[in-house]
Amino acid sequence: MNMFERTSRRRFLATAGAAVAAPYIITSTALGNADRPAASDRIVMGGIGIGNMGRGDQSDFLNRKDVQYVALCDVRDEVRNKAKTNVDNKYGNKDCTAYNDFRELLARSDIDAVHIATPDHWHAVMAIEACRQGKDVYCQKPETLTLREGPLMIAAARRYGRVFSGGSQRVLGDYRQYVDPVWAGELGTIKSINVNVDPLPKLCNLPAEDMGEKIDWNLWLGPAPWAPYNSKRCSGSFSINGASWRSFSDYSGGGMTDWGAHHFGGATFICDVRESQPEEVTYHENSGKPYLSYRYPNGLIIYHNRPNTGNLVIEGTPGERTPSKPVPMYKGEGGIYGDFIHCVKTREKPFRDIELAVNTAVVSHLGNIAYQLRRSLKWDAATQQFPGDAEANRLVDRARREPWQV
Amino acid sequence: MLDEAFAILKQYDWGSDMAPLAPIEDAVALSHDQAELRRDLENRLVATLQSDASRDAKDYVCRKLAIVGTVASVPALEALLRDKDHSHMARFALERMPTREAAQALREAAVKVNNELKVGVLGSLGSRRDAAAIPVLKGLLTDSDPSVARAAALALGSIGGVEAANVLKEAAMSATGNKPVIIDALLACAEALLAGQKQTEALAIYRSLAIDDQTRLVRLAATRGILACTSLQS
Amino acid sequence: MLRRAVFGWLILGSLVLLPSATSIAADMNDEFLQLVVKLIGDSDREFRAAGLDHVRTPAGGTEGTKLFAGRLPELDSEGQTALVGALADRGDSAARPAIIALLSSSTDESVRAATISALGKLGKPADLTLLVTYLSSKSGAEQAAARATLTQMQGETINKALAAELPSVSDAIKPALIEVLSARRAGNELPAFLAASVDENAQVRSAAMAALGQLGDADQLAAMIPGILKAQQGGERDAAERSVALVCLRIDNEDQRGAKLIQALNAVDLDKRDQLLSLVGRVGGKKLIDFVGQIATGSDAERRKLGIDALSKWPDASTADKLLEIVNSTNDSAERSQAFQGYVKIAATRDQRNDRQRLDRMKQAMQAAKSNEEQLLVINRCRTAYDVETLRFVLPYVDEASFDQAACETIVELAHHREIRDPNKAEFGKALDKVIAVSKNPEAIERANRYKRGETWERKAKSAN
Repeated sequence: MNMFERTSRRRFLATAGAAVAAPYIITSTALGNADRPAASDRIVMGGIGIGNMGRGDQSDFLNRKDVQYVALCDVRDEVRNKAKTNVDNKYGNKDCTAYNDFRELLARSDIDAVHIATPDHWHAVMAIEACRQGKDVYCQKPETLTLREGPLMIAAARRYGRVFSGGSQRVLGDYRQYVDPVWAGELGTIKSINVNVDPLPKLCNLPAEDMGEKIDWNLWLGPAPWAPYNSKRCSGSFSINGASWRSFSDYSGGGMTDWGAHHFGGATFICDVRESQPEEVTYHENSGKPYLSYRYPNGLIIYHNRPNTGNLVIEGTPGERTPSKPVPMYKGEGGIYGDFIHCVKTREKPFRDIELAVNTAVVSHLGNIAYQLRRSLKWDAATQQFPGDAEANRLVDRARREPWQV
Repeated sequence: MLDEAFAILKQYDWGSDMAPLAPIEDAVALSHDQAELRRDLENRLVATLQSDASRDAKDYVCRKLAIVGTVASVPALEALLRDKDHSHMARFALERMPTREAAQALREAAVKVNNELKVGVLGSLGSRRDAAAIPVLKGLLTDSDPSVARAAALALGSIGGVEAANVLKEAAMSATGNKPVIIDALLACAEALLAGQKQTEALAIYRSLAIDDQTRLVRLAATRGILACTSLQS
Repeated sequence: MLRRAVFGWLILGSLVLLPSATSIAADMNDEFLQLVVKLIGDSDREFRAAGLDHVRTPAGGTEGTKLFAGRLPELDSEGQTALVGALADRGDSAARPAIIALLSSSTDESVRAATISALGKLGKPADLTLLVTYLSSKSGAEQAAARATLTQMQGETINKALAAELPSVSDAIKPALIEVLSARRAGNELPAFLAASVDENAQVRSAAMAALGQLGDADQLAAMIPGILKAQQGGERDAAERSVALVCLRIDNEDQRGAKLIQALNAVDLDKRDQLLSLVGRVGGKKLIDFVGQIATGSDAERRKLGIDALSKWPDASTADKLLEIVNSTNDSAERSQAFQGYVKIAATRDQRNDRQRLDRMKQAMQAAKSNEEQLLVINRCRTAYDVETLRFVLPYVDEASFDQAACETIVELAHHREIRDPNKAEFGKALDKVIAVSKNPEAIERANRYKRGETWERKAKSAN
């Protein structure tokens, strides 16, 4: 079957009224029951990258009655096998296929949606290819590694009408006590908010190690520069202090994108600037302890690591009351995962639509670039460039290792 | 301090402590508005690139040249495009370098390097949106190596514009080639045309794809494109 | 019901006589509108969504809105639900008549819920009374939609209008309406909440006290006290106290906080004042510690019990010394037990102290413990002291049959916190190995294995978001 062609019963409404052709065997699970929708109403899913976060994502999707989990992919044998065992145990069969190469999973015409929880350097390549293959996408945060990737991911999603959710469950989950009074207008016009997050990403120069695990190293590296195997280089632990890929600039943006995805996401939600991007980043040298301030088109300032200021400290306008606005919420049941599945069915944009997720990632990337160049920057969201700043524009993207491109 | 850092860089390899290279990092940042300092820095980096330093050291150099490299670095980088161990990192510098010479080096490499490396070079040409590469890319759309053909199509899609769109349209109508990727690239061109106020050209592309012969996903994309174009008129 | 059915038939009938939306669009020679109108009814959800994406935008203007809304009667329920949602996002109130008509005519729960939701963005104040009735709909979906819509509706007069409904709605609706006003942060409607806080209906009272807890300030303190006294003992009373405590804690200055509360209490009859000691405990502060401490060590046994209870509910550990003093000095075993439990609870509080200080309190508790139950309590509560020293303190108990399970659970809870686990990986690894060997709790074993591998573990209650 052509990879773009997919007959899916879910696409068509029940009123299509097509006659059943020849009789065929219908399993009881296919028919569904009071607790479990019929197969034609279940979303068929696969997962790519089933490590720490990926296993959590898999677990949430797997436990949904309206999802049928049929495939997974990981380049580490042990991770892949364990993840398959989870699915097999859940369903009591061995139908789930485990892949090493994500392209094989994406080429399957029966899969409706995928969740991606690989290291960040893979997100754009995989997500864009998934959209090309007609899949809806749930992608872990931070959704991008570079500034150029975001618009390309958005374009791919819109081109093919894909539902594409970014992955920070904390943006709605962790910051409501700030969101509610601000959106209710109780703090007046918000002048500034501070985000404390560390550390910056660093170059990885770990020594070569014997490969103590079965891993497709070339495929793990993917579009990132070649480097010898080291267990800390590819560890998926949540450390951002040199013990996992999250710390290293070839694969991620350090704390700025790791916890930054949550905190900047929360800050932009609190201040209702999710739909815009900063227009300027000011680098404050501060006697060797630099910090940043981002200015938004509406005048809001988001600080990064402002001295003597706690995380998410908000500066409002005392005595002023602004009109209240309804707080956007998840659709469907089951948090951010339920929101995604609901939107896959209804084709609405999810709470953490890729465009909003990218706007958060931009904050992190602009910050990392400002710290790297140790100076202030102007940013044009319309052109996705640093106007008149050829040097900074060099850091908008980076060349990908063959054969990968976006 | 810079002398010492570069001396250490020559011995640099995976596992080396990066702290001694801090003066180079400082120089990259500080030389932003000091042309003389930057020139000196670039010369030192190129000298390291042309030495027998390790692969890791040369990769490090390429990362710095991605920020500070100018036309002066191009010959040294160009020489590495053919080398399996260095081609990617040479592109790391060249792809982001806003000079004609960098683009030229990549275009020339597109016809000289082997297929495995060619795919990467084509990707870089696409990222640069190098319209001068269109004739080269056109020729590769029907390459016998499917990865090369695919890379050429995606690069044309990244470049966008009327000329790239016409090349892709013609390819989409021919009997050979990777149709889904060609069409994806053509759709990308249409989006770029629409964003560039070339609504008529974009609409023509979308209408040509909104036909029964196309797959459902392509028809859906084309329909979405038609809506995007016509909503501006409504 | 009959009126609705007749109304529905009238609407349907009139639409049969009118040209269809599709033919109107064709007459208009507007390709965009034609295409959107056509796609709205497409059987393929993704093609339909392509059209609906543009229904969500202002493209086509009011004319477009009317055309799109005109398709509603022609669609099946799924199509209607989707289109109603898109029209709501479009935000053009020109769609409102069609949506109201659909609400009247449809018998499909999802469609009705969608139309109710849509009125959150497209509705007028005149729709409020109708929407309020859906707060007690038999359909859960309609109820939820009504709640969301009423919370969402914009307009200066909405809060006042909703509050004005309160006296006339049934007890089935009142709590939900109060919750809506609270979610709307209707700070001007505090008098309505105060009136409801002493209602005869427990659910109304609870909703009102919760609303006051969110929105009230020091000026409402005294007036909230009757709400506590009216509340039934148990869950309602606890919740009412927590609401008043919330209001108190919004008073920045600790002395003023204590003074305001004491002032509010002094307005209460003496025989009822002692019942409020547990409230005092929730608010805290030096002034109030002295006040309650005297009662907890006074001559009246019943009052001592209330005093110890109050000290045990303190928002921070500042009553710890007082409670430990009672543990070590009282001759009454029941009182001692109460004070001990209170001490451990207070000592474990995650307040401004560092974890080492918290652990030191736990060690003191262990020294004072006189029974296995008390030791188990201490081992259990050690989990709030995020320090590797806590691990070292608890680990030996894994080897004791009376305490091994509790010790395992606490070690797993400590290991959950990466900030102590990661820097002490080897030590935690060995401890978790012991847990895996000893624990009888499958979840604890699974968690231990995950932490050993450096993975995370989502607490189900929190992972919902």
